[in-house]
Order: sequence, then structure tokens, then C-alpha cells
Amino acid sequence: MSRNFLLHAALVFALYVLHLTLPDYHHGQVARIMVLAVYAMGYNILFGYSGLLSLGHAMFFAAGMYGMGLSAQHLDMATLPAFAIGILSATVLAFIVGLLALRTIGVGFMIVTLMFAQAGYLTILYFGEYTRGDEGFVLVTTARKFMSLDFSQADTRYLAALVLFGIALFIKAGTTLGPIIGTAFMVYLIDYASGLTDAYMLLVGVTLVLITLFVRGGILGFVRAKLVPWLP
Amino acid sequence: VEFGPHLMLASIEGLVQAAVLSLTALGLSLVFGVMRVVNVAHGEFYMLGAVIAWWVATLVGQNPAIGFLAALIVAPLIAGIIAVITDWLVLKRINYDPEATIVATIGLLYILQQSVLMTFGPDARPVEAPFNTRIALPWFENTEAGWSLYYPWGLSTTSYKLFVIVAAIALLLLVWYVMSRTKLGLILRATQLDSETALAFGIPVERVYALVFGMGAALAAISAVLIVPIQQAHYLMGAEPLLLSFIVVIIGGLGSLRGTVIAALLIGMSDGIISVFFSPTLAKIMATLLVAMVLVYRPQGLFGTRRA
Repeated sequence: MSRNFLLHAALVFALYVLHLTLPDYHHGQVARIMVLAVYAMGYNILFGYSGLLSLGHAMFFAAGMYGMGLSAQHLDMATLPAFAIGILSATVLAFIVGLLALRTIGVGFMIVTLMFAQAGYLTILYFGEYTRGDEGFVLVTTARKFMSLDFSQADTRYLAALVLFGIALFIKAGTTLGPIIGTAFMVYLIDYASGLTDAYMLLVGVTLVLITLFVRGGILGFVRAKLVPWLP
Repeated sequence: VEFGPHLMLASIEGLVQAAVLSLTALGLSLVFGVMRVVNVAHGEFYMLGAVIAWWVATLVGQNPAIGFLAALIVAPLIAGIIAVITDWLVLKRINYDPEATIVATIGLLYILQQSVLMTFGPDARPVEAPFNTRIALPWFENTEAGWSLYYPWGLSTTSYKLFVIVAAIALLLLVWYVMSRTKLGLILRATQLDSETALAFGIPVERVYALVFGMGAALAAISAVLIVPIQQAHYLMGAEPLLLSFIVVIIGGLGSLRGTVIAALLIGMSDGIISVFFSPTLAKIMATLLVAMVLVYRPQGLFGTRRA
């Protein structure tokens, strides 16, 4: 077994131990971090490996969410097929957008992806009758259950997030450490800052500027260069 | 209201929007053209201009004309100074690295926006126009006596809206004059063309960058001062001009002044007209998709000559 495999297994095991030991607040936060880290890993494949800076990646997040939510809400679909439709809609959308956007590079690619995302966002608002516009809608409770699993329960959510996270780890979705650190940092930063002031995005903005100024190569690069050079 | 007069009304609204938009987009285009920097915080300098205009107008009190005139000078000045400081404190230190610049300007966006939220508050506040006379507009009518002019009900604009259009044209001409007929313009164009060679010929490129970033912010602020008597100042008002400026700059072709103005006219007018007859959301969806298609099939923009 390779060293990477052992490290991944150890990480998943550690997260399972955390599931049993963490207090409620951090339990919820870590579940969030695991889900968002999967998103960040995907983004890292695009931006980190191929250097394509997409400003519209969140559209695919939304496509999955609305694909699942709308089909459960309006077509009365069961959880599993609704989930499949969510994944399918993001994939189809990515295929179409990729077909067009990948004809451009550099700033062109940034703007094209931004424009597609903006068009997607506005389309959601335009069909407010179904999507409830910027208020959004809460998923019906039946769509949050699968067999005996109830995804509105904190424990189920954590374990589901762990399964998703584990899959992303073991199919080798690119570099994992950087996106995980970044996600954990942002989730805790935003949560901490929002406890201090209503204008908490000010603190987030200041942090972003300071990081670009003083932490060359990002947090992971900094840790590697200054503190623990052996880090994978 | 009939179709004809309705269309004319929509066109005037669109023209006002296009006038302001072309100024804002010109600022973004200047910064991108000369510095190769995508300034995500551009819309926030616009917002800052509107908020400062409100602040100056309240401070001056009494006469709205004097307050407006003061705002027209003070707002771009303050926005420009903040931009120059940002360039010196942040952008210069990260060597205008494209990716770091985007993250840094996203940070700047939040800093400006939330600082305004903390001081100015979440309310939308109006600024009184210096003059605001209603002007009725005529329309044609084919009567038994032949074609004649009449004044349909509801077809009117204000003297201030016409002033916005004239002022924007004057400012555009000023920018054109500076860029193409003065030594400063020559320096800017030289830096845009090839900053390393410019540096070798003794042009202080660092100071040019700071100046350009300041000018970009000042142009955004001044267009916000022009629009604020019509629209009101609000701390979240920067998002829309940012998006529209992006659209205009890309469609017009990066770094092309003429292209920017023509694209602003195209986007502003069509946005105004489609918004009146259909829905504003639909208008924006069509505009954003159009931009995406233009970029995909014509990466240099409609009027640009270089590759983006």
C-alpha cells in the first residue's frame, strides 16, 4: 500500500473519531468543511492543475442543488432519483458550458465563465415562480430521507459528508491538502467573524488582502516553506 | 401609451444609462488596458462615488446645485486617492500577479462595501438634483391635416437627465483628448503597448500604474455622482455597474476607447429598451449570454484588433 493511501485512510479514520468526540458546534462545522472541501478539490483540478481560472464554478454547485431540489419539490421524486438528476444536471450544464468556454483562455475564459454563471443566476431569479427567487425554498422532508436515513439529523449528515469526502479522497481527486486547509480556514474565519460584527465580510476582505500580501504561495505553501517541509 | 412614444421614452432612459455606463466602463478598460489588472472592486469605487456625493451634498446643505458641484469634484478625488493608496499598498507589492490581484481586489471589494455599511448604513439615500425641470416631448401624428406634432401624455424627460447625457459626452471627449493629444496620454499609451520598453525609455511605469488605477476609480466615482440624483446611493449598488462594465469592455474590445463607447451605447440602449418592454431580468440574461458568445467566437471583441 502506498504512503498516500495510508495517509488518506488515516485522515478518514481521524474524521470518524472526531465524529464520536467533537462537541455539537464543531461537529456541524467539520461536516460543512468536508462537503465544501469536495467542491474546493474540484475547483483545484480546474484552476490548480490546468490554470483555468473559472469565475463561474459555483453555478455547477447551484445546478446540482436546484436539479435535486426542484425535481423533489415539483415532480415529487424520491430522494435517490432526485439526487441523480442533480448530478446529471450539473454534468450536462458543465458539458455545454465547457464546449463553449474552453474555446477561450486567460481573461477571456474568466469573463465567459462569469457571464454564464451570471446568466444562470438570473435565470433562477427569472423563474422565481418555481425557484422562489432569492428567498429560496426548504426541501420537503420526504426528500431529506433515504430508506431509514434522515439527512436532517446531524449524525447522518456528518457521516454522509464523510462518505462523500472519502470517495473524493480515494478516487484521487487531485491535490487534497490545500483545498481542505483552505476550506477549513474560510469556514471558521467567516463563522468567527460573523460572531463579532454584522459587517463581518470586512474582516474576511482584510484577511484576503493580508494573505495575498504576506503569505506567498497560500497557507499550505507557507506552512511547507516555513514550518514543516516534509508535508506532502 | 402608444408604441412610438413608449419606444422614445425607453430610448431616452437607455441613453442616460449608456452615458453613465460608458464612463464607468472606460475606467475599467483603462485599468485593464494599461495595467493588465482585472479590478473586481471597480463597482465599489462607483458605489463610493455615490455615497461621497450624498455625504458632500448633506454637508453643504441648503443649495443642491452647490452640493452637487462640490460632489462632482470631491467624490472622484477621494475615490482616486483611495485607489492610488490601494495600488501602492497592495497591488504593487504583489507585482500585479493576475491571480493574486483578483483575490486582493475581491478583498478590497468587501473592505470598501462593508466599511460603507458600517458608516453610511444599509439605507438607500437620495441626493437632490441641482435642477430638475420636466420637459414634455412631442410626437408625430397623422391627422386629416397631414403630419403634425403633439405632446402625448406621459412622454417627458427631465432637464437633469439631458444634462447627464451631455456631461458624459463632455467627459468622454476630455478622456479622448487626454489620451490622444497630450503627453500624459502618450505615456499611458506607451505603457499599455509595452511596459518594459516604456520603462527602458525612462517612463516611471510604477507611478503611471498608480495614476491609472486612480483615474479608473475616479471615472467610476464621477459617473456615480452623475447618476445618484436619479438612482439613490446604497452600499450594494456596485454589483450591477461592475457586471455591465465587464460586458461593455469585453464586447467593445479591451483597451479600445471607441469600442467601449459603442458597446456602452449598444448595451445601455438595449438594456433600457428591453427592460421597458419585457423584464429587466430577461434583458440581463440576454446581454450576459450575448457577451459570452461574442467572447467565444470573437475573442478580440467587436472592435478590438488584438487578442484578449
